[in-house]
Amino acid sequence: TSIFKMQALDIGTLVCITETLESIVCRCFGPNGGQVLFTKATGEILIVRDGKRILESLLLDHPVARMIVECVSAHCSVTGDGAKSFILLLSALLRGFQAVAYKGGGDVAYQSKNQILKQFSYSLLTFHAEVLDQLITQQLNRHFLSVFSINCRQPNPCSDKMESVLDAFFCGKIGDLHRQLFSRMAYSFFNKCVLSWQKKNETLKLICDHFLELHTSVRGLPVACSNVLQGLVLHRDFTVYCPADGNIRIVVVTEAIQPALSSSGSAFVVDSDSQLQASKAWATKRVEEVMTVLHKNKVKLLLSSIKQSDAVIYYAKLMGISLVECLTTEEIFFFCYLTGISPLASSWDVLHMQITDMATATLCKPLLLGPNRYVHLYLSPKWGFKPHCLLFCGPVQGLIEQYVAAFHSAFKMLNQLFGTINSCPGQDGHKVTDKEEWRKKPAADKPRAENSIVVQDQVDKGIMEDSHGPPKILMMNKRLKSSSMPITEKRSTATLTQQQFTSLGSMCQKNSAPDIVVKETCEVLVETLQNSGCGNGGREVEGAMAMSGQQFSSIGYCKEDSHFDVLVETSQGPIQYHSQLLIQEGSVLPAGGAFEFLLHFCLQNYVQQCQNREMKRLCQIVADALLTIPKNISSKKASRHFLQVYTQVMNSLKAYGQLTVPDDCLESVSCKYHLLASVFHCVIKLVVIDSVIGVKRIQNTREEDSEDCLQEEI
Amino acid sequence: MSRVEHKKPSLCSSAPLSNTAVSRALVSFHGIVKSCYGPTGRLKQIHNGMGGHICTTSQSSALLGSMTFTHPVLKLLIVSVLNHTSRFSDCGLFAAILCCSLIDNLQRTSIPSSLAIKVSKHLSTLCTEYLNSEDCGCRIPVDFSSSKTLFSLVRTVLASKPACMLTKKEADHISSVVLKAFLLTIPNEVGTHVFLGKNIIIPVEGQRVMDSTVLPGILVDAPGFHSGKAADRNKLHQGCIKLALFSVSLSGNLTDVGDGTLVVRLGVSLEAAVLEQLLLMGEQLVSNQVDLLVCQKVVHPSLRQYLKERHVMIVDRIGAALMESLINMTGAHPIGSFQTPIPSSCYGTLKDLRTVRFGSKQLLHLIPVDAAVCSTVLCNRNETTLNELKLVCQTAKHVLQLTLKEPLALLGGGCTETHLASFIRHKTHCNNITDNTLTALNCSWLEYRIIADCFCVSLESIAHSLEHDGGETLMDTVHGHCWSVKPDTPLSSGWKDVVCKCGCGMYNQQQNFCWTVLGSKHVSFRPKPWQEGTVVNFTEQLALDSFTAKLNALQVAVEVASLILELNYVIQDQN
Repeated sequence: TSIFKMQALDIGTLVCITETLESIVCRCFGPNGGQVLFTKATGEILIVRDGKRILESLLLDHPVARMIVECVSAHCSVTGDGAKSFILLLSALLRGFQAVAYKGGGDVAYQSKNQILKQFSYSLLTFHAEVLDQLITQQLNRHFLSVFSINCRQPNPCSDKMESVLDAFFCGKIGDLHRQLFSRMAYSFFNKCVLSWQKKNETLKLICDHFLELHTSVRGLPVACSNVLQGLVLHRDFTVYCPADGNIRIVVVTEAIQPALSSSGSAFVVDSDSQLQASKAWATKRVEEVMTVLHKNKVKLLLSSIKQSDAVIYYAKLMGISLVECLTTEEIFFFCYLTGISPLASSWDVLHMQITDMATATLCKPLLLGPNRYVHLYLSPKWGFKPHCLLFCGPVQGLIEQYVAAFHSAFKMLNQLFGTINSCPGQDGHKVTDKEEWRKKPAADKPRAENSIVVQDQVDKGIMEDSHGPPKILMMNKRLKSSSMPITEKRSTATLTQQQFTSLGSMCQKNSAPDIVVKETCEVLVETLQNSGCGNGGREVEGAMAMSGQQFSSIGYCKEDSHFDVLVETSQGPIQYHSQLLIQEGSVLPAGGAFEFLLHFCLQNYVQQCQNREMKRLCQIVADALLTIPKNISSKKASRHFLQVYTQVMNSLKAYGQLTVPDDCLESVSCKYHLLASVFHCVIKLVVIDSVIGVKRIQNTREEDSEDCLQEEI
Repeated sequence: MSRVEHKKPSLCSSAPLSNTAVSRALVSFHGIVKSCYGPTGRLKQIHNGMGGHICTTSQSSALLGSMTFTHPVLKLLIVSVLNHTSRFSDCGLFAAILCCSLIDNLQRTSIPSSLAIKVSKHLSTLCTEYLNSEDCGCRIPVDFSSSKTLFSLVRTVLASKPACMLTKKEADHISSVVLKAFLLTIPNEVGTHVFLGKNIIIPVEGQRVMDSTVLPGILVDAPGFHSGKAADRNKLHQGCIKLALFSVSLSGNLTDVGDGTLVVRLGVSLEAAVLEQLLLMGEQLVSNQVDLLVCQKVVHPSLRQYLKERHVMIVDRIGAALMESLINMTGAHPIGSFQTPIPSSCYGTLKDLRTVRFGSKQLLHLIPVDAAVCSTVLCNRNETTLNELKLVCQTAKHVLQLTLKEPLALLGGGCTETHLASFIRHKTHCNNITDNTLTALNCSWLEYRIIADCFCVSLESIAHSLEHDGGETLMDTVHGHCWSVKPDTPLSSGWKDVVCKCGCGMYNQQQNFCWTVLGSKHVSFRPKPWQEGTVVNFTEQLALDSFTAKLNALQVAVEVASLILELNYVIQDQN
């Protein structure tokens, strides 16, 4: 049996909930905020200043509060920053909405109040698409600074501007004490890892995905000892260490080298004593064979993901091969990814291994960090990444974790900084009638060879029969069959995209059926677009195509400086999607609320010109809500500090059209834009909820209550 | 199927330091660590109310490790001190006292905590720079050509732990034992890969302290050892004993069969099969003229008997801890399998083999040809003092290793703390602050002075906490050293007649100094460094502290104090 408990949810409750969250979060906001100490029931201590961590560790009861925290986590996992600003903006917007709802007076019926709010929230979407984007391209763009130097069009950013961006970021995440150390460390790490500045986005993506394997923590040393190390650190000690000079060949194994007498599911039958002796002797002999083969191939280091038997250790020592055991699967995977080899599964594989199964390191030695000894390898650059790793020191483990999380978020933020943001691509009214017309465009407009990808589906309609929507084409890697490493398919498509796509394109154009087929073309397109810095454009195109439900047969795209075009060939003819560049890569503004002040000013001006009454009210609410962020930053300094700064900035904008904010740190604009978009989406999601239904389930066998809450949207 | 549990919401509290429970806990903790500090420190006895292990100690690692703390702020402090001692072994109490005093003093001022933290970090950097500079007045270079400074280092560490209950003569003896052991671990040849040898400590309860000694090589517990027939004694004295080292178990158990099942036919004995292989291997050992078989794990009794009849000595169950030292010492390769013939390169050599007796313990002494492994036998009267002595010797060993990396020592006995405090006071005097410092820190001169005052008071309180008997602590106004005065001295005499020696022992009362009571107001002065000519007691024993450990302790204490002062909110998970 279930018991329902229904609770109406109105804007007042929403405001209450967000204000509670705001009161917790605003203590840590800004450069002068404090820290929060969080203890787990296991006794672990965490010191956090990161908004996302604080919110997640509160373990809230109310389902709406949990929903808000989920939105915040989703936002932070992409941009790496802005959890506290999210809550502040959210609560200010909801307060504005509450004022609108109650303006009608107490006698306005509850239902119509909700209706008003719902209409209002839907107009947020229009606001975002029309007003905000327009304002940014027309008015805010002038004030944006760039991390790249203005005069020369070099692909690498200025180091001092980058450091001030990281300074502002770490000030909010870590506090004033160590931020200079960490911003310098982060920038030098980034500098050392990037192989070529043209491909910095790829390097950033690799760093963000694999950050956990790229860092080591040492307890008991002061924080000032943190620095950047060259090469890769594996977090285990050598079981056998034989010093070797020069280039060192490395082989990775994932299973036991010594064959076991029996495996699970089978039985080993012992007929006589001599049989047992012979079997054991054979097993040991086998290990000797394997190690001799390794020795002959001049392999000096063996990495194993499991514990090997004593005989393996013994023969490794005899042959002068160093051995590292019990490495985690993530480390093994990352190592194989960095070096391009695949691990060998069994001793049979080792006996028949080829040169491609061996990685090379230029140096291999034990590294003593605190009380632990680790393996330190110098590897050669791959995937646009020169292997370097980070060393974090601190008095307590909880503090080190805070730094690690802050660094990880810093690189996510840099990823956003170096991406461009485009307006939502709308379909061009002009339908290109045939491909020939598109091809007839002047050469400058045509897609350049290195940027364009043409994909056609060919083979095997049989696979496509049960799929709906755009046809998915399957790509299989010949190499994937033979190795047993669990490479996720997404990775394999990523590896193939860069290398084999151009050859695939040419093959398709010759109209020959390829024996390799591409899976989930949309994902591939999205990834290529993201890697070349088109930001969210790829997803928008994919979304638009999925919504229209059209089948396509080929895609080409062309990226220019201010816009990019995607040409999709469908069954009804080619369609061109056009997307305008909103925010260029590397755009920054001074920190301390410059973006908020600027947008506030532009919105005030827009409100005066606007005709639509509802849009006018909405713009006014957004403009007022934006001011909470600079208010909270200034509240820690002095009581009237905010008003002084506000009048100063507004006056200078009105008079000279110049933005002067008393702060020299910089902040990424694309993160701010994403924050606004996420907050708008969250507001819409919250306002639309009508009531909360709690379900209590009573079971007959055990008297346990489990409480689930459902939300009903009307 | 995992059950989805209803999670309890967390308990939140804001501004933890203004909470009375926390401040009371901090105050009592401060009292505990202050009362344990120094050679006249009071011991603490920690025991479980239900019976069980009783620990009597004044060392930070044992003390803090055995106590449990509930409040997270206090836990943070304890964990950072324990992490420091796990890295450096020394100056744990120093870090704890400094941290507590800093929190206490800085909280009492009304200056906002963000500013206090910035300024204290700046002051801590000033201290570090001064200590690392050439003309630092409180550090002494350690001369490795003579053993005097090293001896003073070890002696200070030993003297600071009163729970060992050592008389002066015993303390001297133990210091020389520890120093000898350290010197034995330094290898003779310096090649490309140099490793310090290992020093294994073996505690023996019940003997006199003067029985402690250090022996080169390894001492192994071998209760039933027979050294073979008399005929082989000649070989023993010739000085080369061939050794085979096994890392695999020779017990005859069938290990590592795999994940599946084993089906054994009637009439087949698994143990006999393995034993046959073992005996074959034994035959090979005998034919290779191996004198000693050492096994990490257990040796089968039939194999033992077989080898005993053929005059091969056996030592088994030595454990994984001694394996690395044995490998270094004898040059043997640990043999990992007995099914295949053993290559001759795996054997090692020993110089000699003896049995020694310590009290009721009979130990086998393996003497190497030439290696950097030694064993220290520590004796003391009862278990408490023995545990304390063992910990102290490990600390002393670590201090010597740290000094090897950085050959500097700081003056002990509270002199470094008072010297540093007078230096900071001098540096933050109004004539010496530049405007750049104040603008960089974004604070006014008054605020800077207040925080600097708190910092110096905290440093001086450490020197003051060395005094437990109610006497007075003085400071001289020339070198900034710390002097202690016995209690019950008549007030009519001047300070010059009452003082005897400064804390570290460098100066005595014959110098022309002026003394003031520690903590009272005085004219700020720049403390002078020591000079060879004026120092009286340089050849005698000084009290010295480890440079690296104390520097790190200072930095860790300031960092943790800043962290705790910055805490605005505490969330406790109740699940």
